[in-house]
Amino acid sequence: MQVRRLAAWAALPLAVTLGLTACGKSGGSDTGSTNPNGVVSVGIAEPKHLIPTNTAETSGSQVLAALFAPLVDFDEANKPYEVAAQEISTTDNKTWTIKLKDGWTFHNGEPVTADNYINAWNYGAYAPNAQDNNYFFDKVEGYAALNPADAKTTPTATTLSGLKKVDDKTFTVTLSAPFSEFKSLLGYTAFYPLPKAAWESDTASPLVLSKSFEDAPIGNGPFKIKGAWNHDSGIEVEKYDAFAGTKPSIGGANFKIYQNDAAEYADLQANNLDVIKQIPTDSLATVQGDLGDRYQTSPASTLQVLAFPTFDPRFSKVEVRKAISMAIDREEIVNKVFQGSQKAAYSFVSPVVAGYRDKTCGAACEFNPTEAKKMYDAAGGPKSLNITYNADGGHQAWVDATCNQLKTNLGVECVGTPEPKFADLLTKVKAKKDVGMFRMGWVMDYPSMENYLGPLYSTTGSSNYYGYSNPAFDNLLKEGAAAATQDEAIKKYQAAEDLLAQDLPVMPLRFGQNVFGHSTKVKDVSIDLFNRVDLNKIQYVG
Amino acid sequence: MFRYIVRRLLQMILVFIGTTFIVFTLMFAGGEGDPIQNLAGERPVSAVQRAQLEQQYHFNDPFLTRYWHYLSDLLHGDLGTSLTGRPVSEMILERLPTTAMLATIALLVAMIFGVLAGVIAGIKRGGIFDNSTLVLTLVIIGIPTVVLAPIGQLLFGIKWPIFPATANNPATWYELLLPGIILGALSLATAMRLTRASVSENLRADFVRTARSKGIPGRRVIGVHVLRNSLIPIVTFLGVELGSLMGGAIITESVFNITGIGNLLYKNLNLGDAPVVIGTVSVLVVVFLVANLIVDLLYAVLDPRIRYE
Repeated sequence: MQVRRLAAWAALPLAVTLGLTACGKSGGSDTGSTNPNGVVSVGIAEPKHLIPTNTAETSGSQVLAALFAPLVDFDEANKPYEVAAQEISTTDNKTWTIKLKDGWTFHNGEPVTADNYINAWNYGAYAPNAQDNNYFFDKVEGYAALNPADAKTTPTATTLSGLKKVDDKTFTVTLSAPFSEFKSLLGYTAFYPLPKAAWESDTASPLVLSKSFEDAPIGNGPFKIKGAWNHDSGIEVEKYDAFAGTKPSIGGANFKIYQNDAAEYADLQANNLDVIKQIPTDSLATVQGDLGDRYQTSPASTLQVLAFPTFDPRFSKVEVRKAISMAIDREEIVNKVFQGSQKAAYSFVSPVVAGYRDKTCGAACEFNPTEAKKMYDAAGGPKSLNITYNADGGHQAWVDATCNQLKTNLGVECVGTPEPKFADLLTKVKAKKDVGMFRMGWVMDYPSMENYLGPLYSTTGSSNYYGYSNPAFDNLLKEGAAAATQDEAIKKYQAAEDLLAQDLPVMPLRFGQNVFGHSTKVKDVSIDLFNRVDLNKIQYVG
Repeated sequence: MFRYIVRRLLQMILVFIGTTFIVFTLMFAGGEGDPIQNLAGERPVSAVQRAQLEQQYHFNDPFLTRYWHYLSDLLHGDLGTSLTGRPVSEMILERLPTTAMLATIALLVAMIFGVLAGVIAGIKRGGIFDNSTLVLTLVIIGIPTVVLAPIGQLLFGIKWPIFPATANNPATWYELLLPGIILGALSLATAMRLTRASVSENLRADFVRTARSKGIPGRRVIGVHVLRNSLIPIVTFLGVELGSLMGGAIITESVFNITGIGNLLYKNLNLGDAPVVIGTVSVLVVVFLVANLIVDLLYAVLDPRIRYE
């Protein structure tokens, strides 16, 4: 995920203060029969936008997930399977043919056609529309023409040359370079279709979004909006009877908008709210007693790392970086600061993606203070270190703990340097100012090893703030993208990950988790890797 | 009187320009991060978004020109647009009534209970009522709202659900009652102590003794002579308090999920949505200034000796 979502996740690491072991996997009480007309209330924050190509935070994407059906979704193993698509095929990973299922309609009765996808994606990719998810289309051929390097010039084209309609139910996507994980990418929020009703005119070029559409989006999903988006108050959706996909077993959902998560939690306790997706920090100490087995955890895709500015001469030697990594006792921090609720990370990709292997970081991440000190002194590591972090994300506790370990184990000075906001930190890093080591977090966009590697460490990666550049790594990513099968791709990505372990531009620290709770009125509550409640699985028993 | 009001209004304009200028500077020129990154919050800004924001907020102009743009928009009633594209004035207008309702409850609670208890305590100084309310107000003043509000919510919203734990949008009077009482509790304590001190002081004043010796009945002495003269410091306090209640309800509003001004300000400060923050503060400044003007005018009503020229 791009840095934007990190904001939402920044508070998560500290948020968790209860052990994973303490939480059962049970979905709550099984008393009472399920009510197919029950309406489930889910707590969210005010979405920023409700346009698929402009929605990049979890509250908005939770609502969109109810209103829209994706082309693909992800199974238990996080491999993509078709939902709105009949078939997604390719022979060369470059040209992808997407065939849509028959009989699907938008909530206003319009049939879903190839044009609906092509138009929505063109709108998202067209630079002057300044959509937050614009960069998701950068792999499609013709993207550059819609996004000129000089932002002030008008693009020379208004549509992606890589999108071609074959017939009403089929279209092809040509990428500018082969990308074997493209099918997984299609599961992201940015790739929903938009109906004709969304546009001022659906033949105009560039397309102009109708002003009122965002307040009452019309989707192709299992639920349709009831009324309109009631800003700062709530969004209600009800079952769409003509939905052609798997129908949910509830009558609708009421997304209640909360101004603050403590109020949300109070409402859950008062049984006024059915699902809370994120237990607030302050309540974690008591949540076990408050909710019992209605308190649950599930894997999340977050990865917290400590990054080295490799352009800084102090950290240019890999031995110095490895020594620092080896001097950190991850388990101790996870247990003492996070009460065992996060997991220590010894790999560069999250356990939630296919291809994950444990301990790929190898000896460099094993806690070994004596060896670390020896290596550090031999390599002439700097006498004083500092760790820059954003003060608004609740990172101080673990940063201080990490510094203390470095002081003890390496015999150096170490201080945590707070920056007010993550943006300030990034501004400094981008300007290559002296920030020392800095914290980074990552939330994935689509379940693939590639998403944990490409944007973060490739030479041109959108979030490569460490100045890391390794041609061999870039090549392996390219080979992975061009691989014929997913298994082959994974092999290349794993080889790339091994290079990271050798070069250590960042050190992995912790994997995150969803920490959620629900009322007595619902069961089978699950939160997916994108921090969304699965409304297809949830049951109403109240 | 008329000249006084005109002079005050002119002063208010100066104060208003001064305060908005400070907030504007703090939000846009503060820190070393570039303003566009601050505007966009935590996410990376693409070149296109950057260009758009630069144009929308006149970033290529000198700072004073930008401020001038803002002021002239403001004069036309345009508070600008939030980063999410919604007009700021719409967001504020949506929330103003809720906060006004909350502040009204708080103010009524402070006035009715605070002033009443203060008068009784002042008359019967040293009695059981006086001593017990003194202790009670000490306790209330000692507990910050950060603690009082969640405890109130836990006790009366969750454990014994007499009141709703959170408010809907738009909030009803009933939903705002508990947060209003909690918000008013702090002012109540101060109002009570002020009243008590003022009443007991005035009871010993010469004009009260004169009134008593003239044979005016006790109730009239208290009601007209003591109370009227005692009210001046209390009105000053409550007037200033109205302004702070409007903006200072941040904690109470967020605990009870009330979609009011305080919450709007708090949320957008965190998000770094500068247009909303500046707009909200501007509105709060106006409310504060008007409340203070009303207080000053009330002086003349309470004490005929005070003349405005």
